[in-house]
Amino acid sequence: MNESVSIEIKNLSKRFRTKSRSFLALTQINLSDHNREPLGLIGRNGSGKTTLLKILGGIYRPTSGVVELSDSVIYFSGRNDHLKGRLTVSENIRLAGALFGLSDLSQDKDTNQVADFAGLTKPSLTLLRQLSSGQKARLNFAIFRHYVRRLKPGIILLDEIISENLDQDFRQIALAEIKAWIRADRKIIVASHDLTWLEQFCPRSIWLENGQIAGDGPTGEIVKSYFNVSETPTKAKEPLYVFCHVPKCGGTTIGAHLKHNFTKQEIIQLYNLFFTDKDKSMRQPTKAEILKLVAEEKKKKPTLKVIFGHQVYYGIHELFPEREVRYVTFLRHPISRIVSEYNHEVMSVRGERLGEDVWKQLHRKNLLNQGKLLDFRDWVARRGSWSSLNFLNSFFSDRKTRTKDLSQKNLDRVISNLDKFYFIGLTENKKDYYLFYRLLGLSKFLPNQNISKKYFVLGPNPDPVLIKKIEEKKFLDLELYRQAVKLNKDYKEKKGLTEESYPEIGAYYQSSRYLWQHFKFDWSEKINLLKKLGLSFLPRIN
Amino acid sequence: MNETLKLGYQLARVDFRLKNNNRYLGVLWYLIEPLIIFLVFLNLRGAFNHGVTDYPAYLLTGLILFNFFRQATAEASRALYANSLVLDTVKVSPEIFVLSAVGNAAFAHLFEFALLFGVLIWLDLPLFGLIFYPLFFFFFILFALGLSFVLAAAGLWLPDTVKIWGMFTRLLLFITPIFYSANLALALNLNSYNPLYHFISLARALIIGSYPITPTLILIPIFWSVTSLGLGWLIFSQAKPKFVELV
Repeated sequence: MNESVSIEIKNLSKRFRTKSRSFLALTQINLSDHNREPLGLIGRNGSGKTTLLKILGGIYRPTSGVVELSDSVIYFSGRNDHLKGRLTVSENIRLAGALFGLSDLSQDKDTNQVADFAGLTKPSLTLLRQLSSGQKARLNFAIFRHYVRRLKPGIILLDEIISENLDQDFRQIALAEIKAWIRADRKIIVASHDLTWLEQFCPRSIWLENGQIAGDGPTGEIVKSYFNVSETPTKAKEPLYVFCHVPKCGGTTIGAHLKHNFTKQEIIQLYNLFFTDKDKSMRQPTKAEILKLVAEEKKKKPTLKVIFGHQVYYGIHELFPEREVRYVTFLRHPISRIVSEYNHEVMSVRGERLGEDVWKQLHRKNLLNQGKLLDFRDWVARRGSWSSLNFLNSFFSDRKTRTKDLSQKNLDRVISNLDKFYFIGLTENKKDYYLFYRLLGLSKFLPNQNISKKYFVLGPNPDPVLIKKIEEKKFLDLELYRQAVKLNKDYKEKKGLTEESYPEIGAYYQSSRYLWQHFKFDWSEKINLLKKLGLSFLPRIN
Repeated sequence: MNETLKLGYQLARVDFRLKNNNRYLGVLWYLIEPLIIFLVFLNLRGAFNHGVTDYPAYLLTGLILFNFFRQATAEASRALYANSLVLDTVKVSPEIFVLSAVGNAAFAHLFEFALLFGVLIWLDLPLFGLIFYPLFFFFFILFALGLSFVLAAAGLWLPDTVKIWGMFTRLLLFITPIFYSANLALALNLNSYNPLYHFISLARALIIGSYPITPTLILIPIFWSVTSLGLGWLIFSQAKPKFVELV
């Protein structure tokens, strides 16, 4: 395969039209490449790299312009969206085999080979959702490797395949495999944020900015120009944190900390938004209305750092293509959450907490039966699955409608969104708060907020019938929570946050909180005092 | 085309196996469900049969064909929407998901057909007519496939399609003479416009000799198959370029 390969792109543009908006993802791209050396694609999130690769790979059609390729081509994404969580590893390999047209993957021998390469044991017994993000990324790569070996394409398009989820060992294995493809004279076009890797692999790179070519030349030079231009804006545009405040998961304490540590210009709060309809009835805004609100606030707040609240949902990142958006949330075990919900409603109905009248009315409807307060058991029996559905659809579904879809497919979709969260804390684990505060670089601390009175407690030996009933009603929450626990663990592993690093974080948090609350002196003096106590300020987690 | 058919078949095979992997009773479900409905209606035959001879075979033929049609079209109506993430990351022909949905229902039909075979033996009816069943079923698949193409495309545009179609097929169960006699006079002469009626009538004529086999009885289902597939394919092909963007 030594003859040259030819890639010609002339005046290529791509416009996406959705129900709510239309935008140009690529504008007048011209590119000519006639050799088999790897080509790099550099650019910020949303600059058009993936769209360009997908057009070259035949997944998207250009809106205008011409793309001519002289050889067969395949596209591979580091995202593993085509894998299905409720199937085993073997089943996923077979399904992917069927999708890619590889009939041999229906054989156990070949399936085991793919699993072996990914370093996965017992593939026929392990469900995909039991794997860590890193293991899923390994499996995805292993399937693709098999695909390349079988189909021997002339052009390979790699989209963020060396994800940060891959561990160092597998990263080396994957890089060696890619080098073997290059040696076999395959043309590689690779989009990545790992610029060191691109410099090492690709003699030439294209730099995309807002859907246009901003630079084309030797990778070293392009990386330098990219850094020169993006240095200042990148610093100014540090990650935007979007915190989904799921009720009764400890979010009020976090919200209070955010308000306490950031200026009004740095935050957008989405709480208790109500719209009045023509018939004067109150309703919560639709997701489209929330987007509109955030878009308006964004214009007013150029130094925005955090968006948080009950009305935050996975989908807000659409408004911030120029920034790295990091979704964060806290989740709690559904059983302790439902107990806390009950106690919260009792407080609300008894008038022991402030709040919107609309909520109080809802709580009264939920909790009162002929003027009498329902006990926990009856309340659970009457509760239905409303809160589960609301929980899934309001926060973690990217669907624009609030469709109440109680299906496994919807759950898979929700879980795949949850996988994209940057950090998921567990309410039960106090240390996760410290981690979260450290992640956002908070320095001022407050006591816990919004703690409900304990009208009902499950106790050490709860009634198994009651627990079973709750688990049946909350099965979606339970699955979501299990995934959250796994993602929480993955995050800590990835960041090297071992149990040993916890006491340090805990001490940092407790000491600074104590100092803040009890000593009214200059902050730099507090830092000095901490140093004297042998507690240094930890850097923010990146 | 050949490649797409092969892929669709493979995907249907894998999907079928995977679907039944996690069930304790596995493929037995394909017998249990129609058998229960069959037994329920059989019990009520006094109210419905209106002089139908060999009512059990008459009923089961209608039931299993309707089941195939319902399953194939319902699965197809959500096939593209359910696989939207795949369509966005892998270069695949969207047709394969529709083919897989119909193929899956066809696999399930094999089991239901075995049930019919058993009933024919039990009733001591001649089995000669079954020779033509594969050819008949081939045309019925084409009919369902055409409709499935339209529903899959519509399902992507309008997610409510799944609900609307589910409601419509429930209605079809009652307006098609499946469990009652085809001689029952329905308002508006609905049977003439109902393609399912023509397919089921032909199947009953072939298998149990319920009606004399006339050219019209054969040609009307063929007409519906060709029209459905032609129109379905045309609509699907026109809509196809927009699919990835819609997902």
